[in-house]
Amino acid sequence: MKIKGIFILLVGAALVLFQSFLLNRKASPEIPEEVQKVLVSSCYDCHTSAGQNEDAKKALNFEEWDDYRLTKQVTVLGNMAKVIEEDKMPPGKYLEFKPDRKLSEEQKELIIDWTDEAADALMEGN
Amino acid sequence: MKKWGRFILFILLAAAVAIQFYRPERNLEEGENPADMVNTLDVPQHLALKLEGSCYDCHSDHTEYPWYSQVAPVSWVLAKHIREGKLELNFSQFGNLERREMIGILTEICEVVEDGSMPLPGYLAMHKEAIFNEEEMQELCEWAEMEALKLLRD
Repeated sequence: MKIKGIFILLVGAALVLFQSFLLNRKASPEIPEEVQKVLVSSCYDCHTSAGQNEDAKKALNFEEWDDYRLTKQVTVLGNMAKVIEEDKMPPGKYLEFKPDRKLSEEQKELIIDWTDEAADALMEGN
Repeated sequence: MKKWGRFILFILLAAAVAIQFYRPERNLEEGENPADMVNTLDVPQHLALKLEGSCYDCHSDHTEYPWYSQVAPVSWVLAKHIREGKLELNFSQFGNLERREMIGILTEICEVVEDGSMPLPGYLAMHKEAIFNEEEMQELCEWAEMEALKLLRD
């Protein structure tokens, strides 16, 4: 009986610890799920390490985001807003064979608003 | 046959003269500008001079024109470069940018000088002293990052 009690206590403690670990992870700036979805479908093909185009990865590699200096993150967020606003990204050549990846007006607004908020958060939080 | 040669030569000469009459507007704003980057940020004087010598011809409101810039079609090519350069970045109007845009410019001036895309090869061919050596490049990048961080934390 006693052993069972200790066991339950230990499991409980482990759960609490695990939960706080999860919460801590969430403390780093997070990309909202709906934004992430759009980025993955319309940007990640070229702007992650698996991308084939070196220039694209050099300009922005989402997988290296956490290694970017704060000033670089602010810069990239501004550039993302600009190229999306001006319909320069995703580029026409890419859309030729993946036309469904074109950003709708709503998606553009969603991403641009997010870049603004994220940049403001970086500037205020540091 | 000889007659034709002369005729063509005459036409070419006439064309060379005729195109001189189209003169693009010159980029020659005068005087101290409070919005200029050197008046907006802390720029060490020798760095300010380097930037003015290497970047300001196409990225400011005042170009130091070489003599050949008066001759078409060179004058047209230069005017186009200056127009496009200023659209991308105008140091004379730096102070009118938002803080975030300033950070972006600072980050990118280091990047484009470091990867050799600026100053343009054509510009360097005519302005050898405009090139950034290793030491100048490093100083530019360290300074840019420091100023960008200051703006970020402002």
